[in-house]
Amino acid sequence: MTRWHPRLELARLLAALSEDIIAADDEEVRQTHGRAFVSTAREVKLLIKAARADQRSGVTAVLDETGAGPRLAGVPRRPLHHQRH
Amino acid sequence: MERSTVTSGFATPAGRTAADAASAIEALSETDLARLKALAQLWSRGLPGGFGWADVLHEAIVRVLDGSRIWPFGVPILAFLSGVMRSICDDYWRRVRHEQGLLVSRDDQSQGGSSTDPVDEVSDPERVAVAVAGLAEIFRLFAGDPVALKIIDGMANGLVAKDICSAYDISALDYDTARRRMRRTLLRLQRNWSEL
Repeated sequence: MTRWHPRLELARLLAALSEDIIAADDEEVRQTHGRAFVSTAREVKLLIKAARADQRSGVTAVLDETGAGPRLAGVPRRPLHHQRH
Repeated sequence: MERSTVTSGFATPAGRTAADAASAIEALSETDLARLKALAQLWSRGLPGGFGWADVLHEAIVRVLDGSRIWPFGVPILAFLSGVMRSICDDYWRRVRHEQGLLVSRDDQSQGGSSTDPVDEVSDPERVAVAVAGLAEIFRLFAGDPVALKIIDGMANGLVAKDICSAYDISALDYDTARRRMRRTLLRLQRNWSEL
């Protein structure tokens, strides 16, 4: 009997789906977002701008490189620009 | 942890400078920005602790700009950022497991995991459970689309397009059409995956 490896399957699937997103053509991206397209782009642009400002000002991100270390003191739980949709 | 900035001004043999990456990010088109959000949503789905897509993307940008993640030559910027976000999510899952007191005996390659070691899966049922939940989320996302579900199943089994068509008796046209629907679904997904 063949063993089921869900972690492997999920990894393959997510990799394939991420490639799909990258491969989507511009028109497809615009069409799927419809009227929300401009606001989506603006939202991400603002997020990048905030990340750039945080990086310049030395605000560190919420995870350290090991992924196992403690959250650094003074770092907010979530970036202030955080928005959920 | 102090971050390395040695790559901020000089290209390394392995990749471009952080300044190059910053310029490329700055130059992303509106459609690329929308793709970036979709990628962040994909990688961050199901993360515990309220860590969402914006957190993941923010973290990725910071790590790229500060030079702690080097943009390799020959890799498109979106693919690179996608990889950084994936890695961040892996780190986060690892951290969560650590904080839960679970022993992680060796580097985890992915939250979804690319380990093929059966012993590893047996020894950490929680990781398997997380992966099963992740798979279920994705299957739910395409629940109303039988062809997409077949493709999903094929992709999860590591099959390429031709083999998927052959194994699941899908025509090339149906395959392409379904992949387009799948792309649109992924791009359209604006809500938290956990709400699926």
